[in-house]
Amino acid sequence: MKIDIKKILNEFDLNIKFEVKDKPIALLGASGSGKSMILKCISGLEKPDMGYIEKDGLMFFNSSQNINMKPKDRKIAFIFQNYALFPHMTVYENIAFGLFNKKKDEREYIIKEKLEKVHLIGFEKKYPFELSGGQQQRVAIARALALEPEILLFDEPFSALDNYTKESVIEEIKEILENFNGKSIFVTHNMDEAYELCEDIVVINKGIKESEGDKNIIFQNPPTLETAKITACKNIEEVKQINEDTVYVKKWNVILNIRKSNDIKYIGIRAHNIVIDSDKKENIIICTLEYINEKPFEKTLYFNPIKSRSKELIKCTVEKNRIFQESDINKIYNLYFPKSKIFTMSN
Amino acid sequence: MESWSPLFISVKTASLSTLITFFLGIIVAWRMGKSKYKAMLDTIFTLPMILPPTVLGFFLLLILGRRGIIGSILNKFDLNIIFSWSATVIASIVVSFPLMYKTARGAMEQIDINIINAARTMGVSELKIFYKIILPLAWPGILAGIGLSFARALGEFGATLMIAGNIPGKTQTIPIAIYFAAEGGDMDLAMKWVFVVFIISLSTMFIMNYLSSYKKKSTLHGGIQ
Repeated sequence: MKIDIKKILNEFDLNIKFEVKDKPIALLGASGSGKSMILKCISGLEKPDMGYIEKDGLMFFNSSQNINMKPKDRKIAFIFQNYALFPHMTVYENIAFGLFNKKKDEREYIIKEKLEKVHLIGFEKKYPFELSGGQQQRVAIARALALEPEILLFDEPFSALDNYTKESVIEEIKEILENFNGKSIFVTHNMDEAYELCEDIVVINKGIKESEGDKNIIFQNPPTLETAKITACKNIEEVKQINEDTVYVKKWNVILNIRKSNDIKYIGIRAHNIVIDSDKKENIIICTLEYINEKPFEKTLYFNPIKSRSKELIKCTVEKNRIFQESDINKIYNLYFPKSKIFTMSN
Repeated sequence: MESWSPLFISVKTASLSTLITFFLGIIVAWRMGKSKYKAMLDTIFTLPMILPPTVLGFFLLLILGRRGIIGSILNKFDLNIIFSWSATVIASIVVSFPLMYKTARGAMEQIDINIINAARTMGVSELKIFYKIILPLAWPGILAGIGLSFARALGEFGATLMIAGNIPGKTQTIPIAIYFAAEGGDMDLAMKWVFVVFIISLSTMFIMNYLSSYKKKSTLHGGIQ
C-alpha cells in the first residue's frame, strides 16, 4: 500500500509519502503533528488536496485521475482513542450496525466469533457506559473486525486507558494482528506503544516525514534531531565537528570521539547508555552530581560537567537499586560515553 | 366566557407550526453540518429570533401580499393567505423556527464526530446515520427545541396580528384575544385568557422536563433503542 498525499491545513501543510507493507506500521509524532489527519485521508473521511493513495493496485484516491473512493468502499476499519461506540446501542447492536447487509444467522455468527476473540462473550446486552474503558475498546475492536476489513487504522487506541489495562489490550491486539491478513497502521505519540506493536516506524513532524525505517534503527540511531526528540532521547547536544571521528560539544565544553561520520550538527546519547564511574580512558567527562530525580523504578541523575560553561546538564538513568543518595550530591564522577552508543545527526 | 375559539385556534396553530418547524428545524440543522456556507446560512436562519416580530410580519406581508412574490402567484389560483388561518401558522413557523433549529444544531454539534466517522467507515448511508445515530443522540436537545418552539408559537403576537389580523373564530389566537380584550376594557376576559395561557405554558414545560429527565434516565440505565 502506498500513500503520497498533500493537504493544506491550518497550522502547517501535510506532505507525506510512505509505504505500508504486510507488517504493522506506526506513525509516531507529537500531538498535533498531523498523524490523525493521515489516517482520515486513508479512510476517506478527509480528502487530500493532491497525491494518491493506492492499495494492491486499487486507487483509493488520486487527484490527477479524479478518483476519491467513498469510505465505505475502502474496506477499512477505524479504532479511535475514545472508542467511538454508539452510546445508545448495546454491545450486540454496536457490532451489528455495520452488518446490515448480512443474513441474520450469519450476522449472529460473526458477532459471536468476534466477541469471543476479544473475550467479551456474555456482554452482548450491555451498554457501553456499563463497561470499563478496556472493555469498551475491545468492543470497538470486535466491531472493527466484524467488518472484515482489509486495513485496520488505529488512532491513539490506548491513550485513554490506564497502564494496566493498556498492557492487556496491547497483548490482545498483538494476537489479533498476528492472524490478520491486511494492512495495519497505528498512530501514536507514545514510543513504547509504537515499539511494542510495530516493526516499522514513520516519524512525523509538522505534517512531514522526519524519518522512517526499522524500529530498532529508529530508536538506536535516530537519524534526525526531531526523531531523537520524539523517541525521548534525553541528551541531545549541538556540536562542532573537529574531524571525522571527533566532535566538540559546545555546552559541555568537552571533546568526544564518535563513530566516523561527516557533516554532524548534533549528537545524542540515551540516558541509560552512559556509564557512571568507569575506568575507561577515552570519552570520559568529569562531572559533579547536581541532583537526583526519583521515579518508581529508576532514578535520573543530573550531572554538571566540571568544564561546562552552561547550565546544560547530562542526564543518566540508573536502576533504583544503584545507591545514589542526597549525600552524593556535589561529589565528582567519571562519566563514560561509549562511542558505539553515541549517535550523530546532521539536521 | 363567550367562546373557546381562541383556545382552539391557538392550540391548533401552535401544534401544526411546531410539527412543521420540527421537521424543518432538524433537517436544516442536519444538512447545515455539511454546508460550505455554514456561517452565512446560520445567520439567516437565526435572524427571525433577533428581529422584532412586527418586522417579520412586515416582510411576510410583502412576500405573501397580493403583489408579493408568492402572494401574486397564489392570487392567480384565487388563493389568499393574508388574514386566513394559514397566516397564523406561517407567522408561528417563522418566529419559532430559529428556536428549533438552534437547539437541534447545538445538540447535533455535541455529538462526538468520531462516532459519526465510525459509522461512515462501516458503510452505513448518511440518511441511516442521521436517523439511527444523530437523531437518537441529539434527542434530548431536540425535545427541548420542541418545547421552546411550541411555547413561542403559542405566544406569537406581532407577526400574527400583521398578517392574520384579529378575526374572531378564524385568526384570533389567545394573545390577540388578550390584547383586544384589555384594550376594550374587558379585564375579566383578558384575565381568563391569561390564566389559560399560564396553564398551557406551565403544562408544556412540565411535560418537556418530565420527558427529558425520563430520557436521561433511560440513556443512563440503557433503556432506549
